[in-house]
Amino acid sequence: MSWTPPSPEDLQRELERVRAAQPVAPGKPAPSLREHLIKGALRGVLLWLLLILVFLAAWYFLN
Amino acid sequence: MTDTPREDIRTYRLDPGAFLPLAKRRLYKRLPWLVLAIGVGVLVQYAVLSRSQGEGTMSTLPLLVAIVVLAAGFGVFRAHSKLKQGLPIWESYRLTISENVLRRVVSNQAAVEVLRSEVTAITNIPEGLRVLTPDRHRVIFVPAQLIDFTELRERLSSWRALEAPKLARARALSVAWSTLLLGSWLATGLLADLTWAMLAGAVLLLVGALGIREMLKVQGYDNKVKASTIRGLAFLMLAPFARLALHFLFHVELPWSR
Repeated sequence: MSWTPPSPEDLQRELERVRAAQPVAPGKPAPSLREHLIKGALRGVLLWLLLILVFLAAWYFLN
Repeated sequence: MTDTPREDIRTYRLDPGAFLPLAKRRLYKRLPWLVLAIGVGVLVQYAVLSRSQGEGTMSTLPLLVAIVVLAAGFGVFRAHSKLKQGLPIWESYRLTISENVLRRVVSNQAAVEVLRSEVTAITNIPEGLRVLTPDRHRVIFVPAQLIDFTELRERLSSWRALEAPKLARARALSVAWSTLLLGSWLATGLLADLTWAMLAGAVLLLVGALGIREMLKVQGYDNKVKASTIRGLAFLMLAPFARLALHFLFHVELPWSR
């Protein structure tokens, strides 16, 4: 089957129709990469602090 | 269910029933690697400690093994109970095809559009299909779990003949990059000579920065996965600074450098 590329105008119209066929998913928009990075970094720092605290507590009680 | 808003445009969605079995299979596939990584970590730690502190070190091994098994068990339990959280994202997946356009949307990612004229290859992989463009960061993965996947595959094969993926090349690149990253990370922490360790640290910073750049450029990836990969790489890249801090601020030397 041969295929001929559409003209830029036809392609643009087709692109618009495809976009219109995909409604935006309902609900809250997903967090951005920046939000994920900041949230994860804060959680990581807290986890490390907790780990250090547990380690220091274990050190204190074992000695 | 498949939407058919226009004759030549068709939208496909993922089979909701296929989500949980696939998510479970992925989780259990990662387990042996987790066990191996923890095992190697514990072995390296004990090899280093027993060299510097003598035989007495081994007495703490049973306690450490118990803690590690408990922590790993809790991690697996938590991951298992959170599996269903991915279902809304799975259900939001839509892949629309027309005569000249392929477009994919998922609720937690930016839409990816590929024009038929841009397609450089369509590869057939066990998990589905990969539609490639000249821009290696703009790829659409077509999962085999799509309802009416066979029909879509036929339609895409009329765009371009399906090819076998170049797995050997991709695997070789991935192994080389991982080896360079982990090798330079280990060398930064374990080489006795500080100059050589810093040279390894420079390689680590370069490889890590390239990895982060690739991750930022790639399209159609979950932001959460992107963020955790970037954080992991950034964490590894702290190694040269930690080594410098140990040397200059705390005057800590490796046991074998004395």
